[in-house]
Amino acid sequence: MFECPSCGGNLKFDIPSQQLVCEYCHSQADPYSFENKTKDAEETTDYEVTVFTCPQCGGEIISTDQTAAAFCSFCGASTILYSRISKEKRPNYIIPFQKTKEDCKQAYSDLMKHAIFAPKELKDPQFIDGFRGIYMPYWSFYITQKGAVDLKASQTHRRGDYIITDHYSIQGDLDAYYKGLSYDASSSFSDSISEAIAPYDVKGMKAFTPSYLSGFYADTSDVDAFVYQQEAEAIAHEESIKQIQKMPVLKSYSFGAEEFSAAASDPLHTTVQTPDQSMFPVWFLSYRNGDRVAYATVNGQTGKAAVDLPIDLRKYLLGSLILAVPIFILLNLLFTVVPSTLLTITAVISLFTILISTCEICRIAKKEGGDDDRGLLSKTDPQKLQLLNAKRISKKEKTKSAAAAVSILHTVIVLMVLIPLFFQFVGLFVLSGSVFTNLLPDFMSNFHFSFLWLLILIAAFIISMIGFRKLDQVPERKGILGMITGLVGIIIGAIVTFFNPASDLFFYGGVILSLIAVFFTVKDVIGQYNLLSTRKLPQFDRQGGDDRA
Amino acid sequence: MLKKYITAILLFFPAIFFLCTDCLSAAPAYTNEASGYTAQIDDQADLLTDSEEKDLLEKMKPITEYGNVAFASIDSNPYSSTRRYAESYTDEHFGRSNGTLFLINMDQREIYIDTKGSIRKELTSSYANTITDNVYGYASYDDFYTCAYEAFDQIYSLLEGKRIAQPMKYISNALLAFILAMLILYFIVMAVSKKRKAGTGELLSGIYHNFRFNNPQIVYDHQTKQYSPRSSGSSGSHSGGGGGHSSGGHSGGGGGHSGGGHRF
Repeated sequence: MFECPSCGGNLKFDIPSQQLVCEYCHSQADPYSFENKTKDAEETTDYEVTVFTCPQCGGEIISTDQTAAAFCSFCGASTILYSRISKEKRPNYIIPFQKTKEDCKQAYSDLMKHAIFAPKELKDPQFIDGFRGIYMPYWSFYITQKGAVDLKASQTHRRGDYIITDHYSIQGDLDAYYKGLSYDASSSFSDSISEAIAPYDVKGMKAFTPSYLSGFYADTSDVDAFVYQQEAEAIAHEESIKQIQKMPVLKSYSFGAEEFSAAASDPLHTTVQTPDQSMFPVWFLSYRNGDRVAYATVNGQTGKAAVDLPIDLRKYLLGSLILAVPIFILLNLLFTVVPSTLLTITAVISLFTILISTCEICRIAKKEGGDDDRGLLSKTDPQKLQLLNAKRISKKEKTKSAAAAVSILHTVIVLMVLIPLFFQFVGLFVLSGSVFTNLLPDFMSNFHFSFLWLLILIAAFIISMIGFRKLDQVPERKGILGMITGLVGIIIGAIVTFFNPASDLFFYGGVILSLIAVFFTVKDVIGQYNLLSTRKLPQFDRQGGDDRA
Repeated sequence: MLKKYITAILLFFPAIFFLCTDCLSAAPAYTNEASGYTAQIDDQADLLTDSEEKDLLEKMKPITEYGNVAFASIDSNPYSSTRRYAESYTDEHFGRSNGTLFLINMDQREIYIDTKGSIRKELTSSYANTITDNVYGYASYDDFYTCAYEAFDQIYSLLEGKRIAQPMKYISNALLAFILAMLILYFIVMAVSKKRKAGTGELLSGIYHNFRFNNPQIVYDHQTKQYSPRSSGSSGSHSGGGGGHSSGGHSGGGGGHSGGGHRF
């Protein structure tokens, strides 16, 4: 607690004035005015804080105040957090809050205007008032590139039946630096959120002093800097190569894929200085629904908002009904098909929804496995993190190589030849069904065999199998019902088409059953989307971490 | 002997007369004097009684205000499909003028409506499919008269600018519209709620950075050649003839057709 020099009241950091303001006498004080009074050898590296620990998830937030915290920002639990006095390492820098709570609520409300299917609780003013100002720990990298460089480049031209490539060495003296590339240093703060509310303007960074935390909370750092160092180096490397390439004298030269890759070799003499620990401001709100939690965050410096937006199924169905009206009118105006064609269209839609469901399942499996959060993964599964980093680098290299390899000529070939060929191929499948039917024995002459249906069936089975294999990694195996009903719908359609009954009722029955199956699949897709837009309740083990934290 | 000849002649002419009468009764026809269009019944499969044919012809007469109209039934189809037969029939009987045919093909158990000329605007392939959808049930129960009667009734309604019932179309379109709406909304939600990751440019705008590349020099190293013959297949261009066809219809000899059918 920082006492007011005039009345002894509690001083809190006031965002509009960027000063400490007394809650009672409203007198102001410079945040750094408390720095000298307490400065001794130990205080230069540590500062005293109250650590609040959530009894449910183990999440920790710190504050310079002793006022009891009544809810946990990470798991959304409304509970009195355990508190203890502790010494924390001082960060080097801090970006003080620039956006007030009102600004934050406004940014959130603006974003929520478009979220028409979000649960109504997320728009409740009382709920929105729960935004909490938290300083998040970040690692800020200072990267320099200095020295003589020698890069490979080439120029290509055609001469007759030959493609001639002239190879060159691009030499020069590089002097570049990138200071302030920042990555969140807390495993409780997902990378997906920090990337969404980025960037911060580090030009607004100030030397850290604990009084900036007065009236706010801070998260503790537990992720090592090396987790993000490789990515920071890669950004600096790519940017420098791009800058070199942009130079007027070098514009006509192509640089090889290996020049863009920071991993293979380091022709730019990239050096990472000791990373600085910083505190960046975030307005934070959590929405708990059963065993899932969604976060709303607003960048406390720029006001950029990022919200996990689950869907309220009832609102979604109502919206679908409303949208269905103009589509229905349009279909009636433009679209009259025979029942057998309608059944085929329904099967294609069913296949499409199975594909979406499978994609969602794969994404959920990745997310639940922590693949999208390197900070968390460094704590839970460091080996997997190493593996993912290696994969990411090789993928990047492949992408760059491929990009360099594909020439304009190839693109033209793809557009002019392959696409029409593809459509012709699909058309052949559609038409060849009747050809094949003619080859069937007489007693099967009423049966209808279609390659398109065969293709749909095979594709549905393959896609479903991919989905089924990943279902174990999805909470409550969400999506299994939709996948099965979707498949059953397609099989029913195929059977009806094969037996080709004269009565339309069979076709319409097949269409209705398939559409009901599609409904269940889409309903599951929405459920899967809600899993993707929320997070499993965190369980933190705050042991270990960086020794500077 | 002469008496025998006279008797034979006397018997022959009435026989010819009765035969012709029978032929006429097998193919009743009507010509609308105002428009010049005809209505005819060609019941080769003998699906209708004489009185049914007369009643059906009465039903067909008003259609002649707009074009020729015919009812035909066949036991065997020399063509590969009912549609082919119907198109050939209308080409042969209606020439280039307007006309519509309701065909019952007992060989492939299919009913088909084929339309020629300008009345295709009113009687599109979609409507032909809808009408055959609406009436095929009668044919399934061998009630060919009602099947044809209802078909001509609906054809006339359309030519008069009235609407015809399309219950299954509405039901299936309603379901389809709902499912499409669900899918479209899903993609809208995905697009709206997607968290946009800051790009490298944005990240760099918020940091201190500086770039200098002094004394740039371009030093030639070596040259490589790759044999890559120019594609000869794509050089030049040619245009080819070909006919287009719109949904359910196609251009054939003597004017375009549109039509639709249904198995029963």
